[in-house]
Amino acid sequence: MSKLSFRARALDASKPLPVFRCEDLPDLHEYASINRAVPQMPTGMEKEEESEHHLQRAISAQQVYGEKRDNMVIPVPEAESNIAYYESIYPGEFKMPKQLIHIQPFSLDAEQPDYDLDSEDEVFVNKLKKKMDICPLQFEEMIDRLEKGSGQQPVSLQEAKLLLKEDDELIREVYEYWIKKRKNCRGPSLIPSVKQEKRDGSSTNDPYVAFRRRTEKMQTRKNRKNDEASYEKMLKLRRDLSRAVTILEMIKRREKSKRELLHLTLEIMEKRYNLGDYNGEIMSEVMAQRQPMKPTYAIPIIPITNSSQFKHQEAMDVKEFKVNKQDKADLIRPKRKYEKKPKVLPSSAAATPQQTSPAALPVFNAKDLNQYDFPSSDEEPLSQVLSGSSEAEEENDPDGPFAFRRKAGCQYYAPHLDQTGNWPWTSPKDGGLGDVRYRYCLTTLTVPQRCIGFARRRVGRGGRVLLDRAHSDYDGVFRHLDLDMLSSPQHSPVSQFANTSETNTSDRSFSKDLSQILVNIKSCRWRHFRPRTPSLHDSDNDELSCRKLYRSINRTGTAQPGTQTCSTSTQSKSGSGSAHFAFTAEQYQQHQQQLALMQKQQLAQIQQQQANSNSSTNTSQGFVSKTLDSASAQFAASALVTSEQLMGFKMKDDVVLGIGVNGVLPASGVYKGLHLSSNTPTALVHTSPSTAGSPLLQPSNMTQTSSSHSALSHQVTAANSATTQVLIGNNIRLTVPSSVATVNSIAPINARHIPRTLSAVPSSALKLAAAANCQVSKVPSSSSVDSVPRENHESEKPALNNIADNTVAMEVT
Amino acid sequence: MAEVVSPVPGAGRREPGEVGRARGPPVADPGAALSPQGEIIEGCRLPVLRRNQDNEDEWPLAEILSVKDISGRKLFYVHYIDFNKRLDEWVTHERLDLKKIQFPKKEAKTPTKNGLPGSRPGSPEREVKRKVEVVSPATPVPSETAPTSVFPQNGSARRAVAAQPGRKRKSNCLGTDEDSQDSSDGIPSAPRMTGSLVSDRSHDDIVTRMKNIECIELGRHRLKPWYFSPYPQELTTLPVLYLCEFCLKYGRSLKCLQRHLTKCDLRHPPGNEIYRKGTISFFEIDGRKNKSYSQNLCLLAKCFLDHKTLYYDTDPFLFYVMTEYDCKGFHIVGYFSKEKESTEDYNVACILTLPPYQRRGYGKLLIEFSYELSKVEGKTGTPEKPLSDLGLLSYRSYWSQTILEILMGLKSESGERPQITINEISEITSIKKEDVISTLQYLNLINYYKGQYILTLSEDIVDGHERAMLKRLLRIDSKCLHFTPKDWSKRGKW
Repeated sequence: MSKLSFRARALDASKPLPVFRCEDLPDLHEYASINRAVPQMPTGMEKEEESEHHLQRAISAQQVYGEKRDNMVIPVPEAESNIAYYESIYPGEFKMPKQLIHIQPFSLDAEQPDYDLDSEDEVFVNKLKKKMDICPLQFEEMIDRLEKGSGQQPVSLQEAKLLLKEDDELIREVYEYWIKKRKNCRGPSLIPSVKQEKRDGSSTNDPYVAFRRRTEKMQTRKNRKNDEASYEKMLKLRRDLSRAVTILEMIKRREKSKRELLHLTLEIMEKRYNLGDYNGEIMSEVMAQRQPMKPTYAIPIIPITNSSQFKHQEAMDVKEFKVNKQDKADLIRPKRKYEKKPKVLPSSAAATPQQTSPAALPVFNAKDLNQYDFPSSDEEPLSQVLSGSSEAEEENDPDGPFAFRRKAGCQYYAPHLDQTGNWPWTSPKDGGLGDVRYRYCLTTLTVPQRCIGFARRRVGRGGRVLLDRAHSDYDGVFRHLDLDMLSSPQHSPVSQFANTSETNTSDRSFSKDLSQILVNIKSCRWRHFRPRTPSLHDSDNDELSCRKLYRSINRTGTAQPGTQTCSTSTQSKSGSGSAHFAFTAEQYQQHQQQLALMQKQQLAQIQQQQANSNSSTNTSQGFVSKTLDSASAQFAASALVTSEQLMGFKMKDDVVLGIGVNGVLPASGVYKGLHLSSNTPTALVHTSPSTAGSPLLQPSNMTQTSSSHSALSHQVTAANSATTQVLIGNNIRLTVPSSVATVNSIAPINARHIPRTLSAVPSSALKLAAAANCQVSKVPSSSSVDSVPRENHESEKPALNNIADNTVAMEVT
Repeated sequence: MAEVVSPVPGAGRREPGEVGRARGPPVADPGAALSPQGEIIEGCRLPVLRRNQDNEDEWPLAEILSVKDISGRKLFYVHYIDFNKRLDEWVTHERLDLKKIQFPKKEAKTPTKNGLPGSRPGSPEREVKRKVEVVSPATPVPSETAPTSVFPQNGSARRAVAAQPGRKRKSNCLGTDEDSQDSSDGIPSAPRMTGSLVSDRSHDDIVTRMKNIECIELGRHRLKPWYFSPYPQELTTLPVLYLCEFCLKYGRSLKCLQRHLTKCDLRHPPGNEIYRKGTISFFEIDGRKNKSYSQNLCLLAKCFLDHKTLYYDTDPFLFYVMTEYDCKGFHIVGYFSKEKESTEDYNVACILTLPPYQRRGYGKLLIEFSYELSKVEGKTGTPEKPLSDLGLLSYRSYWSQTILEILMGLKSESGERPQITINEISEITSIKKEDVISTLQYLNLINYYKGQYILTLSEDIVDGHERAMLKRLLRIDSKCLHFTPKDWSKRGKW
């Protein structure tokens, strides 16, 4: 037949194929022979698999039956679907969202540790939990970090400590466990992961290496050079970004801590408010108790007070003090700071030229007066503490104790590179202060006792006081000045005071003859410096007894904290408070009388208190006071030798005792007549805080007192700048702040608040006082109670003697 | 694609490893194999007792692939000849019929130096060189005709297939190209970088021929893997490998899994849901964006896909995961992967229905879905080759039903006989033309009648199709598909 004779054409996919039912084509079988012309398509299987028994059986079954039969299916290894605990281990319900699920980019990167705790770990964690705070997740995080931090070699313990944020003890425990577990672990890591290819190509055929990077793709696909470069850039970008992430992470942590601190501070504040702790007593008490544990940062004690002035001033204080500590040697105080608080001591501005040396103004500026008055707190240091990071950084300071540490509340200034002559004694036009204290003055040495003519005092290295002498035509004349005449008893402190302040402003025109000079000196138109000796003290009996008393009190207070301490500190305050006020003659007289009266009262009161307390205390106190008194006497004797340190020490004594009134501000060189008329009563009030004074002590008064007080101490520093010791005995307040922060803030407060509370709540005051004392004793020896430094000084005496001639402390005559 | 990788030189390479492994021991020490103790060594063939699915005992011939000693008791890893590897298993001594043992013989054609006793490859480079120089001359011998044709199943047989002309015309030239590139690069045997399947088993060795994971726990299922999968080696000794049902992360113990579940809040595959009808959903996962899930999925899939390769990363693939929802979440049923850009019209790279869900129509659903995607893309597609036995059956079944559906739905226009071109079928279904033709052939629908090709529908076919379609309840509803294809070529990288 013709239809069989020709070959079938190739099947054309684009040619329509009519679709027939077989029943419609009864003659179809006749054409079957040429059906083979259509090429057989491959199955797409591997040939030898295609021939597999089960497949063939299945295919044939399908062809026979048109569909698979159950027993003709290809057998596969069994699977079970009856895990009983499934319900329990897969958590609860998941509600199908109405919308199609759309995954958010980055939502997948939940920061969960890849490591999953196993039963062995669980045992360990549970055991560890008894000792320290750890939860499974935390443990997993740690292991995760350790594993990811390790390459071929596990990280060392040191590295582990850097990797982990936990505390050392926990890190050690977990590290030990981990390193042991890792050693026993078969795999390269405790977090099982698919083997990665090795760069050397040795892993090409390793069947366990999977997911190799298609690196060649980059080179072969498009031979663009920038592909690689941009890839590198991307890598770099990625690195940088991850670094940024790290930094942000750290910032986050810091801010968290800050917030926490803020909240805590707030909480403390609220608690204190609720307790009615308006002046910080309870706080101090608490802090005192907390003392043994050294806090990482100072919690500022903010006295709750209505007086903004109070706070503000203190804010200044901190700053100023720090500055001074920093530049002790050259006391640079940028001018702008003086503009800040002219109003604190209006008297300084109001002081008449006769009374006040105008040049002294910059020195005894209101703020300077406050300089050592230690604040309990203020906004600025607080904010610095809050920002806290520097504190935290200090914690792991590798330089240890020698590292430069910024103090909270300190302002650090860049050096004035443009000014060379900015010494205090250079004139203002040279950038200095033109400080009167550094003017050339008539000077008399104590040993050998002679007048050396014009000299000026300045502080040299190590706090030595040096005298620069100036030649004048009258040198010969000065040498013969009758010193006795100047130091004769008739020269009462009153006149000295009164006159000094008046002559401060004296011009430098010298009178032609000796008598004129003497007259001038006597009338204190010329300032005359001479080293002060105890023998020159012409203090009256009252004062002497007073001194003894105070000393004993002071010692007793130290040895056995009690009311005495309070009164001592009060006394010191009063002493200092009264010390540096310039008085007119009447004022001074009046003051003396009042002082004497007050001291008597005080003595009486103390005795009364002692009487009230048990007898043993009484006797011991008496004993103590006696011994200490002798000690002080010894000291007084030793003080004959003029050495700046001794002077300093004496000054301190004076200040403490309130005798300083005479010889006030010994080393300061110039007496600053800071007249505070309104202060006189205040000062008096202060001296007797335990009596009628305390109720009157308003914050503002306090401020003034303290500011004036610090003025004194400032002078002291100026004189003996380098020697912190000198400051020490003066007042707890003065000494402490320079060092440890916590102690700082507490001690001054105690000292300050004690007098106020004394009458009202004696018992708590006692406690506080005790606390204050404890703290003080904890301050480095240099800044602790007088007795210690005294011994130091005495041991230094011989050495000091040697330099006595040219190193002389001065006092105003 | 798979064929591409197995050109002639590649096939040549293959031999020494296989042959050496199979025949090595006797070469090295024939006495040992035939020792009086009758020691059973790797490469021995003997009938092994096996129970078939009808619960009848059979004694199919098997090859010993490995021997291990567990507390004094010997276990033998056997591969049943002409059975799929997935049925390979460890058997005890009792199941071996030692009377009929055939010891591996020395093959005359194999040079002795080739017969290294070790089954594992040494340094890859060296081995490859050796293979190439030694074996190339031997390649022309097809396994069927070789005297030893009975045993090197994976080796020479596969080679022969690959070398067969006409499997795919372009594949040959492409393949050779690639291969020559390979050798010139000096990169010995890294597989080509496109596609997900290999048929060139030059990387295949005794390790990958054997299942390495005993059991996998996934959600409420316990799966017995069928093939090797490169899970971390330290986990292969575990009796059970625990996988998180949702993120597929592997853990060594139930405790680990429990801990993991406290941290893992996934309740569905981590991708965008692009299809939902009833409880069935499809999620699209980018192999570059979600590496860890993609890799975990591949590791799991490899347990059930013999020819799947995990040699390279998952970047160029998209993964479409089919899930079934219940109150616990979206449970993975199966998945297919797809190259973002396929040079060979592949619309599926790997495709798998997890064993617990097999034989319930999910496979066909997956296939249907893959063609739905192709329809949206306006392309025709075909699955990457080689197909597995189950893959072939499933695809054939799908193709048949789809094409028959069309043919039977054809209405005659104006009284004339309905007609359709192969291209039209291809366009409607997105099934690649070759697959349409092969299906038509397989169903025996193409007939040459009166000078033209016609399609004939026999009664059997029609009945069978109608019965099958009654059972096929799970269908993809294209209205529920929310899918916008991306032009990956414009993105530069995948």
